[in-house]
Amino acid sequence: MRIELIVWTLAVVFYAVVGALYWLVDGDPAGASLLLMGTFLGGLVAGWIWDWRRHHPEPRAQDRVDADAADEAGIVGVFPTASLRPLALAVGMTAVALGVVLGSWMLIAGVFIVASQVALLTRDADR
Amino acid sequence: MGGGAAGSDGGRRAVTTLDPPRPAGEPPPGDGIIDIDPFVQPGPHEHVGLPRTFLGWLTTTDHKAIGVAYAVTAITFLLIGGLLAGIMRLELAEPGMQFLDEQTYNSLFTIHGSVMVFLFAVPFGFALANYLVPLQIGAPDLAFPRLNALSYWLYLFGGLTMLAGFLADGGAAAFGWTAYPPLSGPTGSPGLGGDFWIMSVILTGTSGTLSAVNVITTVTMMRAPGMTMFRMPILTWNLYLTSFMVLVAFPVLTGALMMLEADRRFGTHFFETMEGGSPILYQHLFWFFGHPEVYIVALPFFGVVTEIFPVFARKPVFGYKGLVLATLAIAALSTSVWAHHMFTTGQIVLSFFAATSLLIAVPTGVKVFTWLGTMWGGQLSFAPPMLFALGFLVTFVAGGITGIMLASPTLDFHLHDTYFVVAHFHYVMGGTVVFALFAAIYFWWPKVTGRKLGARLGQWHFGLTFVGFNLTFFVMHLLGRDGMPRRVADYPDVGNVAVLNRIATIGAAVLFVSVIVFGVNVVRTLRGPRTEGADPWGGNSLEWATSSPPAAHNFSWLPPIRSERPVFDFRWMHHPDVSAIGVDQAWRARADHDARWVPLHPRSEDDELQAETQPDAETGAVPADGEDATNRERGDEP
Amino acid sequence: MSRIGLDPPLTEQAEDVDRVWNGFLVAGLAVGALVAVLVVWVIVRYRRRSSELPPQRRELIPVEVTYTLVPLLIVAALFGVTFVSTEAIDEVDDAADLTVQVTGFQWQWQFDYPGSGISVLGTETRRPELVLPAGATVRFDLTSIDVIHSFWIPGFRYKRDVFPGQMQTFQVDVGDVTGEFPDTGVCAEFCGLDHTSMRFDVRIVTPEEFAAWEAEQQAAMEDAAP
Repeated sequence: MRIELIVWTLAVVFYAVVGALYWLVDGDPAGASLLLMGTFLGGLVAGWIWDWRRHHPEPRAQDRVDADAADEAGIVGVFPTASLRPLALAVGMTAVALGVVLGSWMLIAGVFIVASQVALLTRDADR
Repeated sequence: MGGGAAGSDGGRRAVTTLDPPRPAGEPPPGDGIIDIDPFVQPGPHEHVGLPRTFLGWLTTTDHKAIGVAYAVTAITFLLIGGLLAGIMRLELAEPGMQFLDEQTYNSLFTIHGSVMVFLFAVPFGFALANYLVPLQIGAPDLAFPRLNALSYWLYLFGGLTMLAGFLADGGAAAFGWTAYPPLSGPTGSPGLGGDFWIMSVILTGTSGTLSAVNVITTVTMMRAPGMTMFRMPILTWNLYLTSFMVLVAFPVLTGALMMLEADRRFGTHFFETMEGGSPILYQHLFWFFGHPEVYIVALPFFGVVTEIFPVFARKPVFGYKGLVLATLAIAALSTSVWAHHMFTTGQIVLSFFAATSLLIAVPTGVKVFTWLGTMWGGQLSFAPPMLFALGFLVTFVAGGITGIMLASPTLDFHLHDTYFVVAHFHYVMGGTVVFALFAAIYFWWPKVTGRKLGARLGQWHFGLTFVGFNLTFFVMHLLGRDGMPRRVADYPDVGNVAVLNRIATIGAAVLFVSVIVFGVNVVRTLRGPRTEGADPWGGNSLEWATSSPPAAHNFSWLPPIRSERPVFDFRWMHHPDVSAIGVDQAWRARADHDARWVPLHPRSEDDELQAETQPDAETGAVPADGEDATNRERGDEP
Repeated sequence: MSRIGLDPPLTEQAEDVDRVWNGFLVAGLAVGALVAVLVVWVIVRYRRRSSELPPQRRELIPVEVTYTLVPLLIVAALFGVTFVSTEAIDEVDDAADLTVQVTGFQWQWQFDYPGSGISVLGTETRRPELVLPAGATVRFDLTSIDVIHSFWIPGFRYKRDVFPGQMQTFQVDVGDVTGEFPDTGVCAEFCGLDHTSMRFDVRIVTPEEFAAWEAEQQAAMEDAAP
């Protein structure tokens, strides 16, 4: 995952440099804060990749130039098929958003729907 | 190792996923190009195509169905946004108010811009990401299929919420797609339409953020064996980097809009000067999102044309690594230019943003020359995808040039907030989400539907779009420079202002006709039968190694991957210019691996039963317990 | 706009802007023409003539370096021109002969001349007129009392956004061109319902005419006062 690590580390470096430059030329605090947070975002992903590489030192088939399909033969992953949860959760989240505007009746209903769908999704994920 | 094409012998052999007989190292007869269709036939138990029932659509988590849903919804919003623009152009054709009042006009341009940017342009990019990223990297789906479906439904409901503003008391939001406070605050725009607008953008922004997470995870973790990062198609690279920009930009807008809504409804004063707040804070937050946003719109379409030029020039992408670096530079720089939208506020560091804004022209120029380099020395053909890709090239470069002018505060002090800016962004947006969009539709239509869109109608569509687009938007450069500001329902009848506006309206009418032509093409094509195989254009990347349309979970077979053009390399592996890539060696090496070849997908219970009990077709031996007839080691099979 | 096309440059800064515009325009058209020529060349010269695969060239480093460095140099030059001209335009010093206070509000402008106590107020039915003496250095102090507006005179090639509760300042050296420019000033930041109508007139007069106008305005205000 070397290239991915480089990309996200470059993001950290870029935001650190640009953020510092911006602060030095008298940039505004909002912009400087946002650029600083860019370093955190890059660092989050770069850090995860760095840690993953520590735990998986051998290159994956997708990182090897000489790999072929047989090297990943077998079950690739579990991909959930049809599910009503996403639609129901979206309804709930929309109700929450509109509830902020239209009133607590919708907000409460929305929160209830979101909570129930998240619970069901969590249960589904354990199966 | 046999394994005939599925079902070819009347279903007696329930084999689904093994390699069909392959040429034993000699080139096939004829032009030497290997036909890929025999390898990619879906098995008899595999579902092919999109959901067939209403409930199926409501519950699907298949990235292809969701991609189509995104595309259809986005095009619908394109038509709605276009209709709003058409109404505006009719009003602006003559000086004086014709049939609209100012409030309605103000909500028209607000919703036109918002629909086009939030509900059409970015979601269509996600449509491409949804449909194509897993196919291009050889994966069965995105990393989080249910999250993906959630993203779609949030987008749809968010979009409907924005349109619901038209039903609110006081009408839809009327403060421009940029929603600057104090105008968008509680005293400036007290109506519910504004709140609907804000919630709509929050919902669609959340949708996009979740999709970005999905795409980045998929690209990082689920690529096929041998597909290193530098063998990914450029479209996938672009969608990966677009997702990075989404993660940087969308949450900032969501936060800013939550603050705005709090000002409107909960008595806070984030953006109210009189109470210690700061309107310009909103502008910083908005444009920190807003500028990456326009590159989020553009980058997927840069990727689209980078897929099309090589195919129709029959050459690989020129300068692949340079292109990746340029895209990285654009993605990063785009988040450091934001206040060039604020040059006239007198409150920002002009030189910093002028420098970064001028600088971002350099990697963009690298891309343009890369595309020219891809075509240079090629054998070009001009099917509709290529026509539209060329239309993108010239239109986008024109928009880029006016962008360089606007990057200079000296000029921007005059041109900001005028029709010159309207011209600029329509040219860059027109290049991308008009021309490159249609290029993408014509190019991948056969993969999604199994049919090609008509070429003759496609040429008319292209011609009308090109003429209509330039008629509508070129004159706006002149209008803006001459003094016509943006977001005005009317203008004084002096000089040639009225004439130029009338020309723009005529152009809009031509664009309307071009859309009708496209619609006719679509309807006619869908009525016809599915005739296209896996690779109708002579494509490069892995989506052309599946049936058209692809089966569930996409791949039951993969060619060896030794470059960013695995399908091309496979089909042309015997050609002297291509064999150096190494696909034919990998292909021959596979025969040695086949003994331990296991199907990529679980078989049905019937297949399992048959495999365990059916006598071996050649030797008649019955499998012992635990053995599997189709996977048994064989001696020297051809 | 008071005539066909763009008003002539009314200030020295506007003349600077026009020079920079011409430079950028020439550079832009040159780049555009180059790309157009290359596209046409490619389409004509490399039309498909056989089914043979063309040479599968993936890179040519010298060309790639060139098309990276040359645009970088062009952009650096444009930045240099920009930096110098922007500094010059945005300069505010103490040399002002006249100060005008501009107040934007929904949906018109008010111009106050603190030196002479004159106030010109725009209304829904009548545009205000901004009168300026030719050859003078004029300083503008601008603000808004409600939402964000933007004060733009195309003849100045310059606009400045006005924010509620804040004072903005810019300075111009009015040129020697006199004339009437009715309906040329506009509000350039969308500000709500009647944003379209927030327009004003500009008139540049000789210093003598300006003094006469000032006297006239003061007399009118005395008459109007009880």
